[in-house]
Amino acid sequence: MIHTNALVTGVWRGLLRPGAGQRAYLNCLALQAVAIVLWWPKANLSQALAHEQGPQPLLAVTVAISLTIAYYSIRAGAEEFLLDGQQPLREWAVGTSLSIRQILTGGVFGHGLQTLHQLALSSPLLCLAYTVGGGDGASLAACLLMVVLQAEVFWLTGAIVYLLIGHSGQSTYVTLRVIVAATYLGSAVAMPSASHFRMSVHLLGGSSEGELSSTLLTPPLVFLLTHAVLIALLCLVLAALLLRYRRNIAIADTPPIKTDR
Amino acid sequence: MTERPLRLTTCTSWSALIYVLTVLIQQVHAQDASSQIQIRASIGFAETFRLGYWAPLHVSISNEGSNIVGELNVQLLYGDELNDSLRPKLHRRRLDLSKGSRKRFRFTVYLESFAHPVVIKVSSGGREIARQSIDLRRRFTEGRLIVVLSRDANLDYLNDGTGDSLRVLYPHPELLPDHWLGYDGVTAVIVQGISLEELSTRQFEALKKWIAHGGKLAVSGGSDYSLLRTPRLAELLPANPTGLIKISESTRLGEALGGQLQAQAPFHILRSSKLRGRVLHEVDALALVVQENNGRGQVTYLSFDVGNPPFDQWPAMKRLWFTMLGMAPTLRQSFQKREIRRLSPIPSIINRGSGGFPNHQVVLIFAVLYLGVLATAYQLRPAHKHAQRVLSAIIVGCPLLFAPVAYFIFGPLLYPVGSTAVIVSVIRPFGSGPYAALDIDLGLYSNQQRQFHLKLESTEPGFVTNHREERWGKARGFTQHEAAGLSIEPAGIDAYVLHLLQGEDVIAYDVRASALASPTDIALSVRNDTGQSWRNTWLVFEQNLYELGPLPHNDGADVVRRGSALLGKLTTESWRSVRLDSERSNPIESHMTQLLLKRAFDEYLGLTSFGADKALLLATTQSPVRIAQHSSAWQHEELALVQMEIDVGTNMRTNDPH
Repeated sequence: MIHTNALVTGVWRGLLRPGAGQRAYLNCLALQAVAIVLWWPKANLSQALAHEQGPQPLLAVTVAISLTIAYYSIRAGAEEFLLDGQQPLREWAVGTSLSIRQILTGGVFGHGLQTLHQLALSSPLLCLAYTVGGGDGASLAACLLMVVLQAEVFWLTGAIVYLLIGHSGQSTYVTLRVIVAATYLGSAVAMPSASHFRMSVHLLGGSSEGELSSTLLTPPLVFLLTHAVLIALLCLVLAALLLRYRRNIAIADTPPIKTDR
Repeated sequence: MTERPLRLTTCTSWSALIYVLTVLIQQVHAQDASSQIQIRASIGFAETFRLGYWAPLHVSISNEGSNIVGELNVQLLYGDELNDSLRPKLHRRRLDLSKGSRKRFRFTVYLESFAHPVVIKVSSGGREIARQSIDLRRRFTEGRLIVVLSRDANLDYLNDGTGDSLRVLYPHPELLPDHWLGYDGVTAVIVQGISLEELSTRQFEALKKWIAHGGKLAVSGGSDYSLLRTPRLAELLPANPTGLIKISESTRLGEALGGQLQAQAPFHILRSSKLRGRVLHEVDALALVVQENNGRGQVTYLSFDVGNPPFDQWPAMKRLWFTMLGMAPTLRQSFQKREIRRLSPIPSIINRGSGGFPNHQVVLIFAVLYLGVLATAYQLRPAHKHAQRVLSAIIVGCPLLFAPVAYFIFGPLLYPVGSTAVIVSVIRPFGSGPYAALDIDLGLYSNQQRQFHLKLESTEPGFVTNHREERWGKARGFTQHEAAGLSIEPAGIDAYVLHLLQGEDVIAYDVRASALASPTDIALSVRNDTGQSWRNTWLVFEQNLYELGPLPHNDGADVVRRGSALLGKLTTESWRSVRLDSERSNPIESHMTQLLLKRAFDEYLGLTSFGADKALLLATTQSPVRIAQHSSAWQHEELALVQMEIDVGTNMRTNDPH
């Protein structure tokens, strides 16, 4: 079902061609590279051992990837930019006969594919930081899985904001950025187990003893469960909004557009 | 429709029942297993040990239940909870115990304080099935220990709880340590009326090494002198008993031993031949007490029976023991703590000022190159389909190419990922005898967060965590796996944490050396039967430092090196002037050599009692503690310094016309 979904196919084709989406992520890559350079160890190995504190470029680049992909995802969800040849979500709802479930599945998996592609683009920087970062592969993999889930949450949030507000000048622009900042700060302070920043510090911060380790479930599991529930809820909200939008347009009797299927 | 909920309920009930039964069976099985495992433990000698010393621990485990495959753990806690410096040490051994069987395990443990009990645990399948705690509070003594191996001798007159504070203990020979460190708290071992043949090979080797390290063994002859002619005692004793002599008049014998001896009945003493060492007491050319140095220790042979009349009741015997064994009376000092931990040289060895992480500029160049290729690809707008396909391949392939390149460049090429062991050893040959004391400092760290353990081969040192300055962070414990070799597993999985351990052992290291001085130079004669070549050799004599170059092992032949290359007067900064042959030594080895020499020079310059006819021989060689094949993935830096005090002949100097 997934590989024949027109939305997923559209994303896949868009990823192979240069476009606004790729150029936007190039800026994110530049920020990630800056994070690595800034956090690259300035002291030598003996000083790191003296303070029992290893260099943190892996943590820095993971946090940078998480933050930039979250920012990218909410903007992609709100359709501030699209991949080359990618159709807006509203068009799929009103211009095709695809069910809302198919559109949502395609949208979520399509964005998942896009996030994986972004992680692939960041992989040279991750490999570079991993060598001196001291983290283990399993922790890094857990952090990257969390990045994918978090990206979905922000993509869905962006899509909901767009369907609610639309591209109405500065308000969408500001709302999206406020949401990213508030979510990042809020979760880091109030709900550490749902904060990617805190989870990254916990898993890659160089100490096996963290304040998060005393919870009943393992912290990554708490993060994954929280985000899975959030994705389900946001999908329901988005489905309702798309359904309402389709009904409203159906009343106006807009002719459907041609799709790949 | 009505049956379905019923079926569901039935299934749920059955599942719950099966679950409860499984849990119950497991609980019963666990209780059953624990009740059928018996742990018996004996610590020290006759349940007595000294604080601040190593001691033997014997654990006997019997199993009346089903077969067990698991682990035996002995946990000791060092340090102080209040200062957040608790350092647990876990001795771990594999346990394979079939039904109805019993096994005995020997451990050598360092007992620092009585604040924490020694905990012995048996676990199987990840569950603890039996446990026993040994309360140390009532078993320690502050007095010196004398271990008597005898069937009937009574030397209780040596017991003294006041001024000299001595405790005489009579352990069963079977419970003697199988590692020389087990005798650490023992001042002397006295053997009377038994041979050492019933000791295991390891036990006998442990006894010999302890003597070489400074232990004192006294063997008293009895009427059955064949015991003293058994191979093991014959190997140790400085005399060979050849027969018995009946003594009817004891006065002269008493005078020879330094006291008045009135025998009620005639008694026998041993006639001895092939005497080595010094005869301390004799009467009519009949050796009564013969003593020989063995390494740093000594073996004393008594040709009379201390366990039988007239010597068992002789009041002068106590003083004679004190003289023979060189046990100067000491005043008891309550709560006097022996500190065995030393400051580790590893931090200064690691602190090389350079090396370590790849350079900033390399990172920057790589990032710019990668982003540049991507940015260029994103800017291109090819018209042809073929060109578009090539561009797509570049966009997809670019990270796939750069990621492994990044890992290779910043991983194996510039900064290998993994665990590192720094092993520094100091070998101090005892001079007489084939043994040497070995002090090891071990530094372990990993640049990846993971559990790691290091398997060692060739020696079995007793390890404790090293003393470290406060700024080196929290103290951490470690686990010592003792099955088929020795493995060290530091506690915690954190990267960039330096685990410091120190160990000591006695190893076979047969080297004899002497020197002959002339007004212009010094000639060193070395018989190096260690199987190890010396990479660089130095000699310090009369505060002068001579360089002697490399010295191969020579299998029994004497090699003479002339120390004409005088490096000048020895000062605390002399180590800086030592240059190594760059073809044979890398910068890391040079750095380690300089630091080890600095430590040796400081020690030498701090000595006030270094004899005028003595020289200090120093040489660098391969560490006797090696990383086993199993741990070959470890990066390691290792070096050993041979440090030996040798006699200097002055024949040539006496011919000096000045």
